[in-house]
Amino acid sequence: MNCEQFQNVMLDLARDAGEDGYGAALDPATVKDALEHTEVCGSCDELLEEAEAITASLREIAVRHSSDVAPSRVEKALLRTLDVRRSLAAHTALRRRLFIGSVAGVAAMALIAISLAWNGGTASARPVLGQVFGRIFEKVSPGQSQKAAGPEVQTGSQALLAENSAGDSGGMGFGDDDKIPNSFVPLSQTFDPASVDDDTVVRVVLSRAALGHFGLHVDSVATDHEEDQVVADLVLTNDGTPQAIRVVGW
Amino acid sequence: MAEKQTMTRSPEVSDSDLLRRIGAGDQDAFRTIYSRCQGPIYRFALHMTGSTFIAEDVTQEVFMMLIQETSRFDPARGTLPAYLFGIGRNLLLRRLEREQVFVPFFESGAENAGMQRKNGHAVLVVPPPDLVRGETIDRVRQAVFSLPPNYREVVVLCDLQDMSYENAACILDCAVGTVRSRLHRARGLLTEKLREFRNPVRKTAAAGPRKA
Repeated sequence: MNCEQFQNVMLDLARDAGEDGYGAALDPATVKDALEHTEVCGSCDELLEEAEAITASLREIAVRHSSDVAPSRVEKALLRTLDVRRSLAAHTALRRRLFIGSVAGVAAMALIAISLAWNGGTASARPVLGQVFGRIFEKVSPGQSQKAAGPEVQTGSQALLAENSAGDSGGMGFGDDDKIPNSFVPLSQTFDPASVDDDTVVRVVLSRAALGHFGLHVDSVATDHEEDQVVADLVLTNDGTPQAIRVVGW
Repeated sequence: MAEKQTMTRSPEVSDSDLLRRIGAGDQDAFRTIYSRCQGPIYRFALHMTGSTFIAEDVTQEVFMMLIQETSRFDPARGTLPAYLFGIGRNLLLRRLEREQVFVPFFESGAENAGMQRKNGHAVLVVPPPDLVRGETIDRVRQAVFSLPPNYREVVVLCDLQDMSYENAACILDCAVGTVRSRLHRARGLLTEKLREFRNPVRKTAAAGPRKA
């Protein structure tokens, strides 16, 4: 072994040195070669002695402080922290459960309210909806079947003409007191009842006051139902001019 | 001889189980880990800084972090003690950088106080060396404190804590060969410093201006 090889193993040799020889960090043959080198090389021998002295001193320092531990107050402080964290965790978990529960409760209440409003409110809501949608014009074409149009709708020009020709005595569900004409009342002098087949008949919803614009006498019937609306059939020409009107109900 | 640092897992209860219990606030589980690891971590900090105050503070911070973030430990990356040493090392390096904690190289033990105050910290002072051996130990200790932190930590872990190269490499997050080379270099520096102790005149003369 030369000096360079010795210095490569010197650290392990010095760290492995004990009072009763060398440990098992290096194989015995290497230890033997290194020690033989120190016998012939004074500088390497001095290096090994210095390194072993440092090892011995470091071990002495380690022994002196081997029983040093953190003061008990550190452990107490940490245990207190752990206890606080546990309490906080429990509190947080409780708050989370309460929050989730309250959110679920609010959601359930909202669902119940919506459900009640939908189910219980349909009876009262339907008329409202009916009023809204009732404003839409229902086109009554001459060839439309009565079945398809529904029983309340007077469909077909022939039926209209028949009612018209039947005169004011025909019943449309109105009492005599109402004095509501239930046959087509001409709105134009050019109206020809025979031409209804060629005209368009539409059903409209309009206010009683609007009847006056068509020249109908509504004063007598509007006294008790000022704000009521009237369902009427209008005969329109191709350009949309009303030709005749017939009140079918309110 | 310092007791051998065991970095293996407890056979009875795994570290992960203990941490899970700590996360649930189990004080017994915490005591198990604390009693196993606090001594080596405290001594590591003490040998690195020479300050019992900082050693105590760092030890507390290490376990505080363990309590607060039990889920950060990954058993696949190493043992729990190595993980805690790693935390302690990072804290120490930060403290050393921030507070410039050091023990003067030539500070003698003539104070006779055992501990003395320095920069507001309790600093470990060796009793007066009445024997040559005692003086040597004191000087070696001072020499260790004077080492750069990356060399000091390998000396503390491998020589003062009697830790294997593998465990030290795990704590320092480097290769075993790096630990070995750093230790070799650190021992060389220690040898040089102790030579300076023995032959201060020669050093002074060598450092002084040459006469014509």
